Amino acid sequence: MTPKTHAFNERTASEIFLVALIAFIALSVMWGYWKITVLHDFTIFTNDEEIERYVPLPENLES
Amino acid sequence: MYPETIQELMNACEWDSVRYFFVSENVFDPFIYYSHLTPLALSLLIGFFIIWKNPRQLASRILFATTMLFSAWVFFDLILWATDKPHFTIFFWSLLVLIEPFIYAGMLYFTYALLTGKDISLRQKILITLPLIPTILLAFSSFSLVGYILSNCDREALEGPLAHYGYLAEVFYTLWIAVFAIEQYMKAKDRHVRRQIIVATAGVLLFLLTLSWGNIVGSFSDDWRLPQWGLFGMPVFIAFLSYLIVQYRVFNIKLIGAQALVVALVALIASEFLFVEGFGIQILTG
Repeated sequence: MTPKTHAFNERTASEIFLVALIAFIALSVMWGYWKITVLHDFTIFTNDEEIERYVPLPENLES
Repeated sequence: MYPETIQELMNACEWDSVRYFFVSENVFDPFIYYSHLTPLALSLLIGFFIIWKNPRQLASRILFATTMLFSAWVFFDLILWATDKPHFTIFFWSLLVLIEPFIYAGMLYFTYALLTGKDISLRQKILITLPLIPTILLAFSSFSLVGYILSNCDREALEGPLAHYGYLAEVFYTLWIAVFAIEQYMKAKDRHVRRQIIVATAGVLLFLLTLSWGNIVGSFSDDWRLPQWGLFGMPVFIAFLSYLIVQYRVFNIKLIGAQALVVALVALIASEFLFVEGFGIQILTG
């Protein structure tokens, strides 16, 4: 493979990689938008006991 | 929209509604607008200025992309401060978790392009991108944000392991920049080139470290003021970049020191409108 061809292939591959990455991110964001703002598919904690299961709250550490 | 019990809890908090995405009484101190809108405006300014002056250079394009990412991050953070809707908090906070490590990866790529004047190989691009794959896949899942906290009226989300993984990735990229800069410094023989390396790297690292510091303090403490100062790493970075442009014609931009100083002074004084109170002081600022 000549150096010119190799450089061309490297550049083309880089461009394809960048386009694929942007597409991947866009898909993730669109899915996130649908899941969160349309379906409201997320947890809402209404009391501290529920949160405590994930992280000890500072006021409870002191006692 | 929400179950009745949730809606009742939200109503009890008496949050203000939002205009134009970020204007709201929920932003309880004008300093928050100052700390966000000033770096946002400066970031947009430097990004567009550099790409307009030299659109062909790779470093210009990378810097433009990175400053746009930072601007988006700052704007979404401001939305979080203002919004009264839990689904907006979760969505935009997830976007912050997604975007933030990309800023660090972008600055790494920018440092490579600026200091070497060349593009990196595809293999290196893949290596830089690999730590970001979990973030892209899981940014909108419960690994990123466990849930929305409605046991108080602070309008916060509970960060999950992916958010903390993001901080690790940022440390990784920051170290990579430092190691790469040291390598380039050792290779360079000319003292002017060495000085450029020091100035460029110092600007980049100060920006990234203050941003990290602000975000980590914000995640692990109740102090809301301290993290705001982390955003002022951007004006510091711009100051270093301006020095490189004026002194060494980096990006092939011809700019004299006086021009840069005038722009800086106007930007700094104009930003005071965001927090000055009193008609007399507004007149003086104008």
